[in-house]
Amino acid sequence: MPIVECGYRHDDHERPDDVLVVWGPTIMVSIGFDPDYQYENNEDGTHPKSQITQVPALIDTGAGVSCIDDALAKNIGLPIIDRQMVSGVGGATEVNTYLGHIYIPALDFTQWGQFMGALLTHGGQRHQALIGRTLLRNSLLVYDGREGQVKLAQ
Amino acid sequence: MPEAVKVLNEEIQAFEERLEEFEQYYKGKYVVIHGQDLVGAFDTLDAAAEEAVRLFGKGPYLIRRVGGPLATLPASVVMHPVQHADS
Repeated sequence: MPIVECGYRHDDHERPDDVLVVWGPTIMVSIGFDPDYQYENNEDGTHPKSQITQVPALIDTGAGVSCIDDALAKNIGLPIIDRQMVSGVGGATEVNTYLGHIYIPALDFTQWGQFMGALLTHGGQRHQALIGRTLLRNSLLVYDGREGQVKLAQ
Repeated sequence: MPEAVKVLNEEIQAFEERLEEFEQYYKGKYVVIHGQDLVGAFDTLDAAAEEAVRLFGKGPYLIRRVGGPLATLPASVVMHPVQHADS
């Protein structure tokens, strides 16, 4: 079972438990849309071509669905397939919905489907994607806040 | 407004104009609309997306679940703290 570390290491400036509080569990992902890839029949060890790699994504257990930064989705040309009203703590708002994939190289795992376009970098967040519970439903997540370590296994 | 968004807005309008019909015949299914035309109704998003991509590549096209629940935006998106300029 592949396991990836999504927490932080000790360095000279910051404690990993403090960094984990500020930034949250983070994993590097690739994002894109590959119309030639067979997303549903991908048992041959291949993975889809991504338009961008090494994108920091927040593992967000508070999110039902996964999201991609709206500006990033536009920049890499993900197909926009809907605009819909969504509810949130601030009330209802309209967001774009894109077709694409999030690929996690460390786990060799691909989530394909629709993703909400969220205003992440526009709002000052450093993450460009949110990994929600739909992606985590087949995963094991261990959060050690004392040590600033988070382990994700598929 | 980008051309793709303009076309998508027209497809959303076409969806809303036929909503009563869709709710009668396709409730719970994912419909694909291209231009003013209903391409098909599918049991899963995967099936709808696969057909849309096969026919139209990157689009634009609308894929929407008929009678689907209102999506919820994660709190982390709408509640991100912003540091005050003076602090």
